[in-house]
Amino acid sequence: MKPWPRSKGPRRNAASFRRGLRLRPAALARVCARGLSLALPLSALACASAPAPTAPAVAAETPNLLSGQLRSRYRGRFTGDESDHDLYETVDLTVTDPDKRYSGAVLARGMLDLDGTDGKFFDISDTYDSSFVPQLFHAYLDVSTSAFELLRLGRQPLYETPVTVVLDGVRADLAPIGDEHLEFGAYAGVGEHMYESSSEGDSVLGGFGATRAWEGAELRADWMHLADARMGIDHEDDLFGLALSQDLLHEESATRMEARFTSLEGNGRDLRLTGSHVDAPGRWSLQGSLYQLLQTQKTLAAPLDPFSDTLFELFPYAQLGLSASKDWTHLTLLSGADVRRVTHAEDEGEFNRDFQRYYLTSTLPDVLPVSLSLTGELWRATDTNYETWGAALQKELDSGWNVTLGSYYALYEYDLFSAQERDHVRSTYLDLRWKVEAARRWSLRYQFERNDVDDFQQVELDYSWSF
Amino acid sequence: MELLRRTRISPGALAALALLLCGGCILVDALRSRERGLVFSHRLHVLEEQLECVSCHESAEVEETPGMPSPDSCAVCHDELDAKLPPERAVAALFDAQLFRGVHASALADEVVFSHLAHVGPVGNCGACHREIDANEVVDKDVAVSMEDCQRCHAEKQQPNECQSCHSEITRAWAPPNHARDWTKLHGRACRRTDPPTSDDCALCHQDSACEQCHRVEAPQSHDQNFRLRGHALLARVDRSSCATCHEPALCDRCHADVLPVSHLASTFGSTLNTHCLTCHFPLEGESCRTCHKTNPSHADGPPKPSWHNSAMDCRSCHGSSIPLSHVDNGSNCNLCHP
Repeated sequence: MKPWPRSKGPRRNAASFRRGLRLRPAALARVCARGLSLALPLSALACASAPAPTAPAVAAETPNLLSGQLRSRYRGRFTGDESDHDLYETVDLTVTDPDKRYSGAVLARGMLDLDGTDGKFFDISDTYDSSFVPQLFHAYLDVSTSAFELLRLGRQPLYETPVTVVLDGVRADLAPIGDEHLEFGAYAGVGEHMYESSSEGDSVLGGFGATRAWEGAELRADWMHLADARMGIDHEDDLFGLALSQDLLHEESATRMEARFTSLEGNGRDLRLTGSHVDAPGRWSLQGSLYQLLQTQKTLAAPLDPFSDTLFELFPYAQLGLSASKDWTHLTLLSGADVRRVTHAEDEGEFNRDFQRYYLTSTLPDVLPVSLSLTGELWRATDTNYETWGAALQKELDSGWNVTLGSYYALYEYDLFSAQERDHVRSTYLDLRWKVEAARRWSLRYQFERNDVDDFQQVELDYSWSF
Repeated sequence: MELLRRTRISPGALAALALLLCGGCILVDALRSRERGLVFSHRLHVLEEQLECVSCHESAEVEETPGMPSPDSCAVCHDELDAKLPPERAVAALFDAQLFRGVHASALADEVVFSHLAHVGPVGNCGACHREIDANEVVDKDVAVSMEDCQRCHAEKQQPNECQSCHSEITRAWAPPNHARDWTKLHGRACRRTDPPTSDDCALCHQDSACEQCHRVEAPQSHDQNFRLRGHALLARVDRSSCATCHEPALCDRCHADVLPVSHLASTFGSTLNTHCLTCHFPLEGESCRTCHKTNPSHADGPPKPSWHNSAMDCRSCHGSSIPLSHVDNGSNCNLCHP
């Protein structure tokens, strides 16, 4: 076998390493100014609620009206003479009415580019005109009524539908009817696509009916109408779904089997069969799945589209997945495999490939003075291989500190230009986490990454306050 | 393209070995007999002998702790009953000195705050908490009152159901021991249980947004700098379905409207002196010009033909091999753009 050519990366030495972490005065001033303007108010709020002396536990009479988490993170990235500094603020709030008339939730994040540079660190946030990029993941209000099992208004994700969608609108599920627990629901709104410039022409409309005719079973039928305007082209698709699931619950174990079929514009789209078993006393679990894509997928509405603008059509394929896990006193093992085969051999090509994937995670929590975890993942595809191997040592100290030292290696082998390219990635990281008290945590992460493009260093400082 | 071959240990064999290891251990574990409980029949004493609970559990209604029977309590009846039984079947075998050997079956953790006396009065009926104890034949973990039963009764009687109602240490911010064992990688299997016991129910401490904070907001560890620059393209062309778990097409479109894919920057791709774009982008069906062009390309702005060219010439007789066409496509009619 002809050996792979050794990659010719840039020469690196200690000087270049130190240079990568240096901040020029002007950039430092910009970073500090922007960071303080956003971080100070939140920090003041958090620090104002200083940890109280330990008090005896008192039974709470009612749940808090407002609960959630505020999280601030600074991220600095460095390579050569370039650096990038960003600040992230994540807000996760839940509102609960003590009289249970309503409840609500908000999950949002704001990204602030502190220094306004990108260069080698160009990413999706740099495609916006403003240095501040807000993201609203969900913001909804649940209204309690006798007629509805769920009446939800606002931006909300739908996970039970054949495809996951996020919409700005309304969802209404009727209260179950009869002994067979007949359920009906509908939803409508504007489809939310995180990175589209405009939501004009995007809509989601659908409904479902479900029944639990016998113990542990659920039969559900879905209809979804998805409209999406993208890159100057309007897409409208109707998706029908039929799903049957059966739960077999024993005293301390559970078995679940599920079959789901979808049809797109009147033609079968895909079929998925899954089965899983969890045995709590024996501390083991098994899961298997079989997926068959029945029809070629081309340009479709966004939740259905297989990245056709970039990767073109997705041809029918079958994929089998198996995984197993077992816990012992001093060892935990999780392993699995996925195998995909394109249905018609002539469809195999640049963006439609056969592959096998294998993965293994093992954890030894107390054999050594520290917890050791080992991970490995292998991809074997037509003309492309990928593998990654990692190890991490973790130690939890009595003072609330948690220290993790880890390293991983990734290898990409592919033929794109010279028929034998390979990219090496070596990364080492150190995680320090300090639980000041149950509700407050600091974490500091440093990561050094060496790949065939350059050396990169990344520092993240994170503070979270739960209330 | 040349197929890749490895001469090392087959990854399939490695994976099969790992699965066999897991499966073999699971089988051995399943076949191993489980610990049996203490053989003591509540059914015999309660249903057949019609004994009241306090006949044996004498302190249940007067002391904080419920009170297991003592050897002397049992001896009232069993001194005579056990006279002809071998020692291992006598009631004395259920005790270690004065301590009932099955006491651990229903014992609560030290950090649980529970007053049996405070519950006896309001509940009134032993069977309301100790469900089906009158049919029990073996003193094992099944005799313990479950957390679900506690919470259900508290809800029915509109009593506090917060963690602090019963726990002195455990709160929503307290992490169970299994969260320390590589939980980031291993929690998925715990989430798959559709009807977990209350103590294993994620919803006890976590809102749905806790899942979303990681699975929608945070990037996986694999998304390092190399992945951002090059790696994601290599994996996306193998398994785009993995990307679709979190991402929609607009992510690719938005980024690549500003940044050409790295594969398109090599001298053999993307520049005007090649036709290799059509290796992938042919035939053009539904793909928009905006995949590569930010604005509407102006096809009318081509430079004029050299003066000694005329429209009747066969362009490809020269511009097909030795002098490549300075355009990304073959050009069906050069005269449309080059007057």
